[in-house]
Order: sequence, then C-alpha cells, then structure tokens
Amino acid sequence: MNGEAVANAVAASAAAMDKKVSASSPAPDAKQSSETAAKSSVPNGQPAVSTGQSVVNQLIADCVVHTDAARTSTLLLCPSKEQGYVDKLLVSSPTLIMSGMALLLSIAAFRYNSRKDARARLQSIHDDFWLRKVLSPQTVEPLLKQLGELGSTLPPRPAVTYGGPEQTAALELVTQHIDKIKALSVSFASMAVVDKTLAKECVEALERIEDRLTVHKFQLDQHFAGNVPSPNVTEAWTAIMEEQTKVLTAVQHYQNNVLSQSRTGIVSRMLARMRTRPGGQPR
Amino acid sequence: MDAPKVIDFSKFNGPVYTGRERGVRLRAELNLDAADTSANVVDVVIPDGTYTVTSSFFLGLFGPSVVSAGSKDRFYQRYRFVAPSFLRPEMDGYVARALQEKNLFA
Repeated sequence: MNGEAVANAVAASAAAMDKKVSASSPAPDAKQSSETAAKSSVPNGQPAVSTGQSVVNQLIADCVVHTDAARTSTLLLCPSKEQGYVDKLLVSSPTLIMSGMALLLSIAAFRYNSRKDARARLQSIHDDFWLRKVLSPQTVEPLLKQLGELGSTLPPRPAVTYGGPEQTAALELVTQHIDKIKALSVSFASMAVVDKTLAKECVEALERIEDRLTVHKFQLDQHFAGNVPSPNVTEAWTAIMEEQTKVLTAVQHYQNNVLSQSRTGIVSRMLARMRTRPGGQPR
Repeated sequence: MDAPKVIDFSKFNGPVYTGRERGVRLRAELNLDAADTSANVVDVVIPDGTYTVTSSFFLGLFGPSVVSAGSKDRFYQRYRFVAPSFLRPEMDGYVARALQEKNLFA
C-alpha cells in the first residue's frame, strides 16, 4: 500500500476542485495555490498547505487504502460517520409518525366495525325478530283487522231498523268489539319486552278506543231506550281512527329509532366522549 | 285507628266512568297516595245505577294502590268494594292487569 501516492492523487483532485472554486471567484494566488497543492506531497498523511488538501486528508484519515499490485487502481474504504441518537430520531421520525398513525387507524377501524356489528345484531334482534315476527302478528295485525271489522259493523247502521232483537244484537256486537280491544291491550302490553314506552303508548291508545266504544254503547243503549238521539257513528269512528294512527305512529317511531340508533350510535358516543372531560364531568 | 275513608262514586259524574286522566285526577283529589301509606281501610261504594267502569278509569284511580299492595288479596283487604255484581269480574281483571303492568313496565 502506498498511502503517500494515494494522498498525492487525492490531493491532485482536491487541487482541481480548488481550481474550479478559484475560477468562479478568482484570487490573486489561485494558480500558485493549485500548483502547490498538485505538487505537494503528504508525508505520513499530514495536511498539505492548500485548503482542499487538508479537507481531503481529514476525510481519508479514517479510511483504509487498498491498491492493487500494479498500482493501477486504488480503493478507499471509509467507515460511515457515527450518528447520535437525536440525529437518528430526526431521520426516522416521519416513518415512526406514519407507522403510529397507521396503527391508531387500524385500532379505530377495528373498534368501529365491532360496534357496528353489535348494533346491527341488536337491531336485528329487536326489530326483525321481536317486533316483526313475534309481537306484530299478535298486536298490530289483529288490531288493524279488528278495527277494519269495527268500521264496517259499528251500529247503528243507517239501513237497519232496530227492533227488540236487533237492539240486543247491536249492543252485543259493541260489547264483543270492546272485549276484543281489551284482549288486544294485554297483547300490546307485552311490547314492553322491546320498549316500555312503546308498550305504554299503545296500551293507553287502546284504552281510549275502549273508552270511546263504551261511551258509544251507552249512548246507543240510551237511544234504544228512547232517551236520547242516535249516537254519531262517524264521530266515534273518527276518534277511534285517531287512536289507531297513534298506535301505528308509535310503532313506526320505535322502528325508526332503532335504525337511527344503529346508524348513529357510534358517532354519538364518540361525540359524547369528546364533550366529556378526562375526569368524567361533562363540559 | 281512624274511621275508614269512603270513596262514593255517586259523587262523581256517572254512570259511565271512563278515562285514565280522569281517574288520575280523582286519585290526586282523594289523596290516595297518602291512604296507601297508612294502615286505614278505604271503602269504595259504586252505585247500582253504574253503567260501567272502564279499565282506564279504574287503573288511573287505583292502579298505583294495586301496585303498592303487591297482590290482589292485599289490595281488596285495604280497599273494600261495594259494587254491582256485574262489575266484580271486571275489576278483578283490572287488578290483574295492574299487577301484570307492574312487572312489565317496572
């Protein structure tokens, strides 16, 4: 190995570099400096006079020089400069931040999907199974059928002449309708298994239907006794239809709530958490 | 022990007793919540000329008392009814319904 020769060769390159620098900003002794650097030797790796030479010597101080036997090529093996902890962190921080964000997003997506599935399952149980398959066939459907019959049979009918047997039959018919409404009230009360408010609203609406039919029956009885004019069927029917609409609206409202809860429940909970202080106290 | 409290339906607008709100209002007027907490018996007189007492009225008036009593027998021990015979099975059904709703809506 001929370190001196290598240094000379590198110094020549450095001198050339100096020359280029001088050409861009000429100095009075630029030519002399370049020549000196080119000709100077570097005994024992000591820095030469020129600036380029000293820089090169500093650079190659830690390097190992390999030269082939024919001295036609030289290989410099230089160790990379040791980086501090902060330098390493600065270099790798964007990667770390991106990785952290990806991890957080993955966790959030997993939790979102889990809760969405749980909500969908709950909605499926409450709405699809309980309401549609179990409760509705025992409550809403019979009520619609019952009130449909009531609308077409509620006495007094205009075309009927009410003698003794017809009067008894008419009163009995209203009593049967009242009894069916009472039985339906018990069925509607079982809606409490899915929603207590829904059950209460429906039961109270059916109570009002029962009340209206009871008053109608009393008026009809009084009419047959000759005390009062015939009760107004249209008026009674309108009041009953209003209560039927309340029942259907309550059921529809419940179903909409179940759907909207399953859609917005997660977002609402997240917003509620954001509005809550770390101590658990709402803002 | 105080004299039994008497609820006479003939003092109210009859002979058809309907409406939960009406029953609830009457309950407040008669202060039955206080009566339920005392050991005194309440006599309920329903006149013979009564056409009907609907479930809504009965439950508005006596529903919380039935729930408070906890059972049909205890309710009838506290509230002694003098009523037309055709109303007895009706009222039994109302009491049973109040107890059912207590469990369902609790």
